[in-house]
Amino acid sequence: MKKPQLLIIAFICCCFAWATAQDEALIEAESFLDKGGWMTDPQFIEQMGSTYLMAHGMGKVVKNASTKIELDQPGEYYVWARTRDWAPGPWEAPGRFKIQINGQALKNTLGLNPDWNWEYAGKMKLSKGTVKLELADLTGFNGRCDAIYLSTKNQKPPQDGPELKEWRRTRLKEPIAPEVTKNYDLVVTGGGIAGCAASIAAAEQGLKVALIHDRPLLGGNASSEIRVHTLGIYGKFERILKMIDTEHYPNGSPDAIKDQEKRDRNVQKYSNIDIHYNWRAYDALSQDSTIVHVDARHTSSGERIRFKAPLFVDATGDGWIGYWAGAEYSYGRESVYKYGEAWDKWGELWSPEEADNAVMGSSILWRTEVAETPQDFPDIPWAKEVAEEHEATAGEWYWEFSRNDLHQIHDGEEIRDHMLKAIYGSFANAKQDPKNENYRLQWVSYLLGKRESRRLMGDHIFTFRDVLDDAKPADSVVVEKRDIDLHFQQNLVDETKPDFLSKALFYKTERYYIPYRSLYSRNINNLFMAGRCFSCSHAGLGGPRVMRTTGQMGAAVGMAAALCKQKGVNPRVIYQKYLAEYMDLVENQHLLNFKN
Amino acid sequence: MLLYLSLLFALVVSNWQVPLSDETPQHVPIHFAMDREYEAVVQVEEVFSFQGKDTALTHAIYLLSDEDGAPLLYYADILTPVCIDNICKPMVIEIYWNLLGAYVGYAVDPEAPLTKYDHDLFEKEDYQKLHDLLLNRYSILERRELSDLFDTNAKPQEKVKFKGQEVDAVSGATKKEIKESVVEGALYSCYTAWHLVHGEVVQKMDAYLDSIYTRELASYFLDSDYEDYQSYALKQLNADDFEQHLARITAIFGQAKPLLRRYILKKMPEELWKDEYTTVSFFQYFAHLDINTRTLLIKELENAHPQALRLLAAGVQDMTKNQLRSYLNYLETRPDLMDSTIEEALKKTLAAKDYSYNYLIEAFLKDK
Repeated sequence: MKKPQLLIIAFICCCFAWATAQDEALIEAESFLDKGGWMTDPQFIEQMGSTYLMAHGMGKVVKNASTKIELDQPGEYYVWARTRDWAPGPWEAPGRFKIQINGQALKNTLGLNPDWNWEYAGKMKLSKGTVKLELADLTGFNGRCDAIYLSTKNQKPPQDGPELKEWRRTRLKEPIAPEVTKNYDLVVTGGGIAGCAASIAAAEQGLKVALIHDRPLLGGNASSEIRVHTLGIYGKFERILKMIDTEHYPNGSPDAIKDQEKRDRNVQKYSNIDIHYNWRAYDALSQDSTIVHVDARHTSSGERIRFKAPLFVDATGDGWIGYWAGAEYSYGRESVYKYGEAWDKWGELWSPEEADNAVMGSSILWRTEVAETPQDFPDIPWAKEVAEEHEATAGEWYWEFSRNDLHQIHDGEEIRDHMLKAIYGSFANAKQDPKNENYRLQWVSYLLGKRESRRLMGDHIFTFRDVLDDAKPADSVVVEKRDIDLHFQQNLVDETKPDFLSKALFYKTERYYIPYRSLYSRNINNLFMAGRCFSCSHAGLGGPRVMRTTGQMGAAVGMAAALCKQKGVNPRVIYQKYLAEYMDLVENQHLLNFKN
Repeated sequence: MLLYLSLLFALVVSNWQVPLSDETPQHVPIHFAMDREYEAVVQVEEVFSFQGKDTALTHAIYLLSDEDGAPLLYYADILTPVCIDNICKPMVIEIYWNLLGAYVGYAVDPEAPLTKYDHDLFEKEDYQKLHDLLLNRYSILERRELSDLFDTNAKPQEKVKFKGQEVDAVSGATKKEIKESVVEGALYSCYTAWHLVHGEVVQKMDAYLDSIYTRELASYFLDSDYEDYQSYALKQLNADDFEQHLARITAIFGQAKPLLRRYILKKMPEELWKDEYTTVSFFQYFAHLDINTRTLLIKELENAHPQALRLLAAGVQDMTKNQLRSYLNYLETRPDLMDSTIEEALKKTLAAKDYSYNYLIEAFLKDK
């Protein structure tokens, strides 16, 4: 599957929106046939239960999303939408919207509840037959809708948790397991730079690869949806990485679009890479410490596929495959004594005496432009609590948020929303200055650019100590010379600073090496990892988290996977028995001669 | 080339070296980030020397002490070349560091004021800007080479490429940040001074501190108002010391920056929390603390005296959603600690109807 096929999705949408012959209908918002100006947001499924649609209009009301359903029974229908107010407080909720049925708006405004819940939209008499549903944005400020439920009974569905999950599953008539199974040599989950590189490297060696990616574009943080430029060196994988990396344009630049086209085109040209765009993995089953399959769901249609393979790569960034499979992982900062990662110059800022849950934060990049005429920007009191008096007409990498009551994965939505408040609020403040009257927002990402989350543990844990010791083990497959840099929130050392700005500490290094043993799980036999979820400490992640380095990791595991297939072994055995052969493959990148 | 010029310069200017003896320090600082400790200086001792970046010159470092011999500051009277386009001129500046090696101030000879590239004299605000720059240990200048700053062959900036669109380009941002942080027309002077005060000398001072860190100095550090001194002193304490100095540590906690507060809470021996007075001493600050510190205090509930629960009940409206969840979750696990004071406080918050997460309190009270 090279690109999302509209017709197939349209067909599937009918399945995902369920109306019975009785008296109720559940429609997943992401299955709407015409999404209008609403964006599909699958980032927080694990926390709030579903992909949802979001009216990300940067302050301008977006075009209605619409779909059609068939009702078999006429009657008076009560209508609920699962939604939330993403900036609760003593002001009008920013993300308000209405539901329209057959062109007529229901009575209640939605997007008012401080947490995900079903909000009652109103009731309407409906005839049997086709009904047109629309989401009508009222603000342009990130109103969101997970699902719509129509029923002739005045009974609100369950709010969340397993109860909602089961309620949903029965109404959508989903079987417990996916009905479609696909078999591959290698299943790569996550189409960021690491996942792309892994797929290409494995495909070049003849493996049949599934690449599962939850967005319509490849590249992750480097994609034109997030727009972080790739940093680092190519190491031994220049040819592969040049197919998928970016130029050194400013972060947030639309030049990312050009590199996006290059990346998608280059990965698509491999006929043995089966790219599953808009598919998000939601489970991985392991038996006897070996992953049997990964299950994924289409982010719009809800269709599901079970992916089977002897080998898997976790390039999800958040380490989801490893997490579901039971791989050991770490999160937060280790004690400085654990691996000897002290840098006295920065003390606690670099590595703490006592371990804690502090991590580098996530960013949302954004961009403005200067119009020829003055541009209005609304008054947004709900952003003040974050932006306060901070003024800005541009962002950069240091627009970054991390806080110790928020987990970069579990609280991702709150972190993203915090950054949106920071951006909109700072821009609104800047707009008060007459000199900025012609400024307008050109682009604001709604996807979190994460730096750090789960780190799966391998046979070797790469640490800052490896850098200090100038270690070059025999299985050094990744090489980097970029500074090790760790970030901290500015308000940690200066309370007058906004909480969404960070500082970086840089440790200069000539060159350091990451061993192959950091790229496979120490307790899940057939799991590789590449990207920020590779095996490292917090301080160890400081350098190699940039995307050419993570790309090197991907290419390295792609080649290792090929050798695993040829030898019929798991990743660890490559290190134990075939290291010379593997290093030769990495060095010379000749094609393996398979003996199937 | 620069090194050669520096050597040449060193030879030429060697006669300019001012003899540093009882006249040191020679001038009153123009800017000084501490409490005029230099006024108490009586004793001056040369303790080591260091070399500046990109020059062969070495500079003597003096430890300045009061009449009782208590160390106060480090000091250097520096003469260094500032070169652009192969033309060098001297910069004479007296620099002060605190005992941890942090820059705190500088002085200049009124007869030899600082000048810019075009020989214009520094204005009053230029001296202030230089001081601010030198105080910034995170300055972008740390990672820049001179060639980066004066690369006349550099390609046009993205700023031009993206004309009409405000982009904080990497290079653009860098240039902007550099421009904003240095004295206009005196980039090299600023660069040279920053690298002098934040270079290898800092590690040497830090190492030297070990040799002069006495009990008296430890007390001075802990009792001082300087947070880096407090922090250093706290790091040297063991659990027994911690208890002994608890009153002072509690006071520091109330005033400190979040980074130091976090350190204190981590280092606090668990058993000290059992004491009601100690618990109250820390938790009383809750409403005035930053969010991260509040999270850490809530985490201490399981160790703290139950009075903490009551104090926090009155301030739940200051909690984030996750903090409130942690607080209520803890109450759920310890129903024996739930009393009417807590319940009334929660109900009062509910009644006020202005807390975004009242629905969590409502659910908690309903399930209770």
